[in-house]
Amino acid sequence: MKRGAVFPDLRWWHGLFLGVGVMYCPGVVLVLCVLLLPVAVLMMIDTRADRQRLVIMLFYIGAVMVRPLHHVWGGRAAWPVCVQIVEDEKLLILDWCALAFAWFVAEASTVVARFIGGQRLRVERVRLEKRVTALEEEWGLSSVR
Amino acid sequence: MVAADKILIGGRYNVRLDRPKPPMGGCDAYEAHDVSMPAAPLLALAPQTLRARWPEYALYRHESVIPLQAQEYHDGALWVMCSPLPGPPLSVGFTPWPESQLIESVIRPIAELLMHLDGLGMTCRALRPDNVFQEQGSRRLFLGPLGLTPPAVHQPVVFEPLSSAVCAPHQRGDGTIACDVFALGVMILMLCTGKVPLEGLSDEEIVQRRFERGSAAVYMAGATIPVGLVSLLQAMLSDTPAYRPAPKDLVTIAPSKMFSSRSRILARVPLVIEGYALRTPQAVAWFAGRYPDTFLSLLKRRVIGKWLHHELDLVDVARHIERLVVVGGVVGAVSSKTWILMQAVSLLDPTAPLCWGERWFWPQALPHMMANAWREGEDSVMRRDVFGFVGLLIATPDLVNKAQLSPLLKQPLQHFLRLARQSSVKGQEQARRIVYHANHYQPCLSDQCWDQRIIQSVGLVCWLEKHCAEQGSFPGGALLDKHMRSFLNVHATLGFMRSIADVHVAGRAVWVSDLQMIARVQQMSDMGPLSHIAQKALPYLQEELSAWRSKTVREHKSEQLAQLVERGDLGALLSFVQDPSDLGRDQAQAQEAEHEVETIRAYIACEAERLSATQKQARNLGEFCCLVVGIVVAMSSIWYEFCGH
Repeated sequence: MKRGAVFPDLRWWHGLFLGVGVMYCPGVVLVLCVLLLPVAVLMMIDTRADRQRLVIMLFYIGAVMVRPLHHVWGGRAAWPVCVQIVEDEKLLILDWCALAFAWFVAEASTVVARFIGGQRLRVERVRLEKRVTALEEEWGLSSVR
Repeated sequence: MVAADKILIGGRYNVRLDRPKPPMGGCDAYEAHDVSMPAAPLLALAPQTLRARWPEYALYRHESVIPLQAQEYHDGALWVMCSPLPGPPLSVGFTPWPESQLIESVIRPIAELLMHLDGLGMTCRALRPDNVFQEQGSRRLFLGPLGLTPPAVHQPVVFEPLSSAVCAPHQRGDGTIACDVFALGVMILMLCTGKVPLEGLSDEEIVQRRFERGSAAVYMAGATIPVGLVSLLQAMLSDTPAYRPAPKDLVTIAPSKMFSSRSRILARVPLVIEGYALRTPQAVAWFAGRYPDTFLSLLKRRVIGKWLHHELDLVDVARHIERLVVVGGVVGAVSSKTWILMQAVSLLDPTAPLCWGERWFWPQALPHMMANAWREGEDSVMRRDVFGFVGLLIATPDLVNKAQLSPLLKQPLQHFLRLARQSSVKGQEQARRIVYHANHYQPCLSDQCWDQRIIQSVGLVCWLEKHCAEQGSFPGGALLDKHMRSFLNVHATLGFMRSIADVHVAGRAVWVSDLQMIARVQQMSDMGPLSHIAQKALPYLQEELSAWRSKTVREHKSEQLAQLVERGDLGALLSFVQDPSDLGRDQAQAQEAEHEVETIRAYIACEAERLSATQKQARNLGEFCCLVVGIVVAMSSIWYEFCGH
């Protein structure tokens, strides 16, 4: 568990800011907390996830967050509007799906890239072995090493 | 008629091998004619071994010698063309000659011939009935061509002075003009009496009688000789060379001229060895060689010394011979018996040949003896004796200086040692080369081509080419044998400062040097292609190609080699097979290839690292893709939210 590496290094002023946020605009904090929850969950269950990956995930979550935050802006960050948004199941599902999609894209492209790289290595290896055989035959080198 | 029965020599002389003539002067003779004058018959002679000074003999002309018309090489063998015989040889039969005619037609012309020869430092050594021809219808005598055989090889013992009669035919050496004067004396005696003296006796018996009583006395006993010739014959047949008349005395001879024949000093009391009463030191010397044990015991008991001192007044000889036993001494591996006997004989008779063991020989004849011994069987006594002596002489050159020998023996021995020093090699190879160094007209001694009488390296190579063609493609077998190698080596060095064929590359197979020698001959003599020799050498050449490590180059070169073999240029073949620059390039490339293989192997070996690197890269790539897609999705979402409606 590389929890230390993934979890943000929380300091006292983080708490200060959070407290100020909860005090003056609790709706926004609520929305952000609910929508960023999948990232936090991922942070806990995916041991391989590093900070870079989490940043990438934020793009996908960010894409989902555009509309609710627009609504929060439009509703002047009123508590009922925020609660309404948080209670919207479609939005929550979309939020979780965005994370899943991001994870899938990352894994799939890694697998594809790994396959391509492996293939390239295999081809190169075959080519080199052929070359060695040809050289050995041409120059009568002993193949026992 | 088969073509092989008829050969064209020098493009001019047709030799009919199917029509042999009686041998002449020890050479095979055949009927021949000049192509431009078919009507004039000629005689083609095929000499087996020529004298070392053959060029001088070939140029020599005299009215009493049958002239040579031409000497031509055919396939490396020398053919001598001479006019047809003027008449039958004396050995066929003749009637006794009167004194005046003997002087006019025999003594004067032949003495003149001998005088000329002596002036040129040459000898004849072929005065014998079967080599002297009487012109039909007249009383003129002609000698067969000179120099066609080694000196005195075919001379009967009767016609040889004692100093050379004791030697076997091949061991007689060049001799001196006095030997020819002796032979002339016997010839005159024969013509006077109508028969050869001492006919019917064995050689051993003839020599023994001559030693016991003197040659002149034995030959002339009971013969009817014109009174005017008695003193002449006594002088000519003297056993002491210095007592014989010189040829110039004979040229000016007048009928009934008296010659003061100095008789030998005889001992008053004879020395008895094994029942033979001996009165001269010469006789003692010969019997000493015959009964060495008896002689040595007499010598040790100082009987010989006293006898020489008191009976012959030879005080110096007596003193020296006594000292031999006192000093004794063994030099190197020589047994003291042989050593003492050799010196004792030389002291007793300064004109005697060298007595080594039971063998008498003149050191001049050593190269010829060696050639003869090579032709003998592997384990013949002759071969053992000759090479034993030669080996000893070469190994301990001091021997000649230490021995008390007459100058007649020492000088030729020194000359022989000089010859031996000409070649840098040692052992048997040196012994083989001395023969060719001593006589440039010595045919190659190899058993395979001895009958071909090959005396030119070109001829040997031509013969080899034919031989290879006849053999077909039998695998294996060396190209040259030892004698051919020595022959080519010596002939390659003739006229050059440095021996070329001697540059043996260490570790190289023998056939490479063989081929080098043949190629050298081919280059020098501008002869045609030698594709059969090349064909025979092809397997070896292919083997040589294995020095190239590249398989493709080897195959390519092998194809080229086959083409070169067809062309038959041995020099090109050798330089093709032993191309050092090409070989160097090949080696460098082989090293590069080895290096490359090592690099590749090392690269393959660390594949796991590369795999993990690839995985890491793949992960980064995946994240990058994910990032790009995320950015696109985020941008589209923003765009849809604010501008989509």
